[in-house]
Amino acid sequence: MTSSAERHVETADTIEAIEECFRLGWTDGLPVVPPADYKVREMLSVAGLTGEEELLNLDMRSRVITSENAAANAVMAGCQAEYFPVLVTALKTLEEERNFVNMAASSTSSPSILMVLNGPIRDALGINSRDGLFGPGFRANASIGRAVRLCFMNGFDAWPGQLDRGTMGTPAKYTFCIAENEETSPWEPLHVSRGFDASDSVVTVAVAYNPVSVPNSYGHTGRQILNSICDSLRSATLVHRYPAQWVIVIGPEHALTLQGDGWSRRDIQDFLIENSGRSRAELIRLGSKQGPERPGDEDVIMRCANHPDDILIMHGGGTGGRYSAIIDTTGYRIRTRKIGDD
Amino acid sequence: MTTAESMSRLRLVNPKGTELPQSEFHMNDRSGGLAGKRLGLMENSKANADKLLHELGSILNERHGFAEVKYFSKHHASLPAKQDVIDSILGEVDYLITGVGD
Repeated sequence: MTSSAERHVETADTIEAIEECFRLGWTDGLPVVPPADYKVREMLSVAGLTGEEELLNLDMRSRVITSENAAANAVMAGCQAEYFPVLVTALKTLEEERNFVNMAASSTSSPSILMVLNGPIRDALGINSRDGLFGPGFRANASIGRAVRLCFMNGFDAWPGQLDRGTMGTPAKYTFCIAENEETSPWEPLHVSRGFDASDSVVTVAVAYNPVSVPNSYGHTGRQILNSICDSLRSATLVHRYPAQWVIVIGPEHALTLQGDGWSRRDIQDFLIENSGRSRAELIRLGSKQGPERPGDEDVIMRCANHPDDILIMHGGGTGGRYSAIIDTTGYRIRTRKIGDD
Repeated sequence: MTTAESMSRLRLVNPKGTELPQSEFHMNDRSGGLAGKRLGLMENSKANADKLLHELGSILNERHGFAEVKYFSKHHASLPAKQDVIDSILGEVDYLITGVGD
């Protein structure tokens, strides 16, 4: 553990403190709210933490994120104190399979951390689930997602070109936090489908990639919309993940059409698996899977997921257009946890 | 401390992760050259990493005349090597080259 003296820096005023955070290499490239000690203590107080608790341990980097480290990053990200329990739960969720956190902090594929909020906490914190789902414009979404990435950068030295070897990076690494629009969804909420009560406030955490927008403006049937999603899944952009776990965000206009045609969540999951196939031989020739091609590969059909539950169907976004989104994820298993249930 | 007081002189909390205690590392004795020593090469399970390290092992063996060249593998690129692999390395080779392929 570092000494208390090394943990603190003093500055004369707020503007100077913002610049000092840049000089110290504490930011993601944007200005941060200076992590003043009284704001950090306020953050800890709301979550009932002392600052000493170990939230996420990455022993292969010889680092642990304590609750004080996390609170400092949450302040810097612009979080209000009442957001902090979401960050604490998200970090503890990552701790459940922490070895794969190294991937989220380093992979050449540039994954980020997706958080999906369900339950009453969405309204309590004002987490957007509608127009402009992936941002910008909403403090809770923007700052909670940003806090996780700052924890990775400051906590585990996940700096581009150093220990983070992400080839292209992604805007989703700045922030990637959304809520489900449960109110207009044709299906039961995502967290209920994963075994929680509707009244629970939960966060679903995935090591995931940037959303791929799927337009279907002119199809009049649910099948046409799902065929558009399958067409995107089969593309070189996504097919190299097969088989994987996915988060499919069905936009409101698409949801209405699917609902009108009677598609259940399970129907959609089954359809995507059944209609996303491509032969292994084709994927090897494309360069999406490693060769060499062997006899019989033409008949080996690879599908987007091994099990319907590996496709998380959720509802969100605005009503202005007919769009959905696909989010592909890494080998880290998507996990859902009740907030504050630690 | 009130908000007004703290604004006059802000005390910032370092957001860096807290360092865990680390065990000490010691380099092997390099005196006496490489000839007759046992060389290990460990690949990280990424595509073609094994091919690259086998080629490297052949070249190094030609140049230095190792007593033995052994190859090891991590089970997953993002995870540390399993303890039994580490134990094998400690017992079976004098030098280890490890690298990432992608």
